[in-house]
Order: sequence, then structure tokens, then C-alpha cells
Amino acid sequence: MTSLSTNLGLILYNSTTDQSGNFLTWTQNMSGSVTSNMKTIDRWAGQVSASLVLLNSSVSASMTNLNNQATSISGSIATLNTNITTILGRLEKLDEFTGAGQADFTSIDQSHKHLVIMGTTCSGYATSTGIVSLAIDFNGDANSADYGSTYWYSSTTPVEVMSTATNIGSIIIGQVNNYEAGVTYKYGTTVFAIIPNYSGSSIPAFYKNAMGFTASYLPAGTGGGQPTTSLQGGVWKSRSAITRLRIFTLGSDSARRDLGTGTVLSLYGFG
Amino acid sequence: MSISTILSLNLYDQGVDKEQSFEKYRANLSGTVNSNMMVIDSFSGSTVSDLGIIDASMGYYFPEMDTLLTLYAGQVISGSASVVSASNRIVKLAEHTGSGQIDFNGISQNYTHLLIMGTTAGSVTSTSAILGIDFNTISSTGSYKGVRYIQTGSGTSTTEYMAGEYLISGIPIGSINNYEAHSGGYTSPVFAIIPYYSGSTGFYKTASGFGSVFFFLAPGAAVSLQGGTYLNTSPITRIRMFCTIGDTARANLLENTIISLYGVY
Repeated sequence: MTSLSTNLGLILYNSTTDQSGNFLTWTQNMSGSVTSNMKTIDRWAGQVSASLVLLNSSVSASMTNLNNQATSISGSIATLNTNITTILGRLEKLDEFTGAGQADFTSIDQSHKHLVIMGTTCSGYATSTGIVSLAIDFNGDANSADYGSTYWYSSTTPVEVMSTATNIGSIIIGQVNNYEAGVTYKYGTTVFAIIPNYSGSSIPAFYKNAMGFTASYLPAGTGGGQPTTSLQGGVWKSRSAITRLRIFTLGSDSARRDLGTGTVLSLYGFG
Repeated sequence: MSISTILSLNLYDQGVDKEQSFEKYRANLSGTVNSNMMVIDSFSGSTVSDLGIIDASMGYYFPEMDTLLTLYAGQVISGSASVVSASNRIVKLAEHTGSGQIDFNGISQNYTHLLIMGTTAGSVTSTSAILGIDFNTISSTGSYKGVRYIQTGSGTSTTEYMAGEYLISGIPIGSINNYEAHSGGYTSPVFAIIPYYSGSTGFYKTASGFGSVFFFLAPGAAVSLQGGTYLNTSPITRIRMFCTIGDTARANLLENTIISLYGVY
């Protein structure tokens, strides 16, 4: 009695139990009828070929689809990164000075429009007295003829001062507490200043300028409880892009002095 | 004898092919290079080959895709980190709208400086209305040293006023319009800075701001600079804002007030 194979159902002969089967029937089962082994194998071959074609087509289509998706994702990521870079550029902390000494911000990124300085400071010059000017210069230029500064401050003694300074090689951006007030008594001064259009260098652009305001309280013993408010600013007689910015205090002799311990001055780029 | 459709296997028809010899039959079945078994074997080989090609193609493509997706995943993670960085550079930490006194509590300590911007007016009748702030709910006058300069009036008849140790139990950060001016539709802009608010070292905490006020009644106009010191180095976690006329009493800010608190990294 013949049996059937597991997968294709091919007709199988057992040499022991199927000896009685005649040759004619055997040939019929091998290749002589629609259900013969050869016809079954042929149909299976057709199904395999069709499956391979289908599989190949499906794989190929999937690969094309994945490739298109990957290309699209790549483009989206590139666009996203460009947008992120744009957003990051709208406000960036370019540098920060902490501690004591003179701030020296070098290699200032030129990709922004304006600079803003925010922080708190005082004089680091141990023998400083009263209220002390906070000043900046640009690009390492300390030539007094290259700057013009104007300042106004109001205090209790004197009540009001309005003046200019043309021989200090820098621009005044604030009036801050002296060493004893700041370092010994912890009375720092809030600083806020702006340097507009710092990166442009085209002519006929204006000379570069800066300005800031402060409000300081000198505690008893370092200024007798004297308050000071100030507005000041000035011009650097150059149209060069600003790539370096130094911040320091000015002594009464216009010499450059340190900022006091505890200073935190952040430099931001806008736009 | 006929052949099958797909593989062209040799087929025997019992009716017409019964006279074929066994030798011929056997040769067609498995005895020549074109016999059924050889054809089947060849098909088997080509099938394996086709599967191998597909497998090789997938084996090449999928690692390439995996590499690309890994690259993209890294870029997305990096981009996401940049987005977080960008979104944290300046953040509106809190905003008060409407009347009353402001209380910004639980201020995030993730930033370097604070900025205050907005517009407001006070409920007092005095034209010397001041916007004041205190920190961490400390309201004792001995904890603050205020500084205030204001110039009022118009033309040559202006009046200057300068004071220190300003006793408002807080720090003055602006001059603002009063109740009557507010009734006429006038409020005042506010801009102030609180540097290094989150640190606990260095100087006492400070704040300062400037203001300009247009009164539609006398004295007409005012400009001001003010600020002060909170005699404490503790991080600022809470800020209250109120209207004052220069003493310790605190009055409300009026409706339509909008005061925003920003953290700058």
C-alpha cells in the first residue's frame, strides 16, 4: 500500500509492502496522472517560483520604502538641526567670568547681533574708596584717544554728577561698590549693559558703543550708607567687529583694577 | 509523451505512452542530464540560489539600514538635547496677571540670572507709587538696603529725589502709576534684573531696575533708577511684588497688571 510524503504528498512505494504494485500503476503514480509525483512537483515548483517572485518584489519594495523613509528622516533631521541652531543662536551665553581679577572675553562669536552683560560685581582693588567705575574696552585697544565716555550718577554727596571722560581708554558701563563694601561686607552691585551691533563692521556703520545702568548701596563704614544710581555709556572710535572684550574697574588715576571676589559676569549674544 | 507546464518534466500518458520501453522511461525519469530528477535538482539549486541572493541583499541592506537608523537615532538624541538646551536658555518661570500682590513661589534654581518684565500700576493715591519686591518671604526692613533715584515734573520745573536705606521692607525696582492714572488707562513699564539669584556664595543678593512714568495729571512725568541689597546670600526661591509709597505698608497692584519672571541660563 503506497503512502504519501509529508509536505508535497508525493506517492511513496515501500519495497517490502508494495511489491504487488504493477509497473503500469507505478509509472502512472510517478508521472502519468494529474496527481502523479511529477505533476505535483511541477505545481510545487510553480508555487515556489511565484513565492520567490513575490518575496523578491516585497523585499525590493520594502527596501525602496525604507530608503525613501531614511532619506526623508535624514532631511527632516537636517532641517531640525538647522532650526535648532537658529534657536540656539537667539540667546547664547558666550562666556562667563567668576571670581576675582579682570574679565577677558576673547574670540567672541560673531554670529549674533547684540551683546548683553549681566551680573554682579565690585572693586577688587583693596584701597578703593567710595563708588568705583566699571569699564570695558574692545579688541585689546587701551588707547585713551580711541574712546569717549559719558556718565551720570546721583548720590547723596554729591547729589548729581554729569560728565564725560575721554582719557581712560575704555567705556564706563557702571558705578560699583568699592572693595570693602563688596568683598568685606558682601554688598555687590548689579550690572546690566548692552553692546549693540557688535559684530558688524561695514561702513558707514556707527562707531561701536555700549551703555549700562547700576544702583548701588554703600554700607556704613565704606561710604556712610551712601546710595548711588548711575547711567553711563560711550563710544569706541572704531567700526571693527568686536572680538574681544575686557571688563575691569577704574582707579581714581584711571588705572585698571581688578574685580572683587564674588563677581559673576555673564556675556550673552542676542539674535 | 508530454511535458509539465513549469519545469517541463517528462510526463507519460497511460493511454498513448504505454508502449515506451522501461529503459526509455527510466532515462527520462532519472537517466539523462535532461531527466526529471536533474531538472528538479537544477530547480532546487536555482531556488536556493534565488533565496541566497535575496538573503544576501537583505543581509547587506539591513545592516546598512541599521547603521543609518543608529546614526539618525544619535542625531535625534543630540538634537533633542539641543532643544532642551535651547528651551532652557531663557524660560518664563512665572507670570502674574490681574490685580493683587504677586507671589512667585518655588522658583527654579536652574538659571544664573532673573529678569522681570511687564506693566503695572498701584492701588495707592500717591504719585510716588513704587514697585517693590522681597525675597524668600523676608519682610523685615532691617534685611534690605534700598536705593532710589527719581526725577519728576516737566520742563525746567523738575524735582530730583535720591535716597538710600529705603525703608520699604524690600527692594524698589520701579516707579509706577497710581490708582488715578490707572483709572485713566495709564500703567507703567517694568524692567529689572536679579543677578546670580541661585548661587549661595559671594555677594548679598541684589536687584535693580529702571522706570519711566507718564502721568496724565501733575507732576506729569517721572524717570527712575532704583535697586538694592537683600542682606543674605541664600538662593532666592520666592519673590513677592507689591506697591508701596516708601513705607512698610504694602498695597495691591491693579487689574491689567502683567508681570513676567524669566530665568536666564
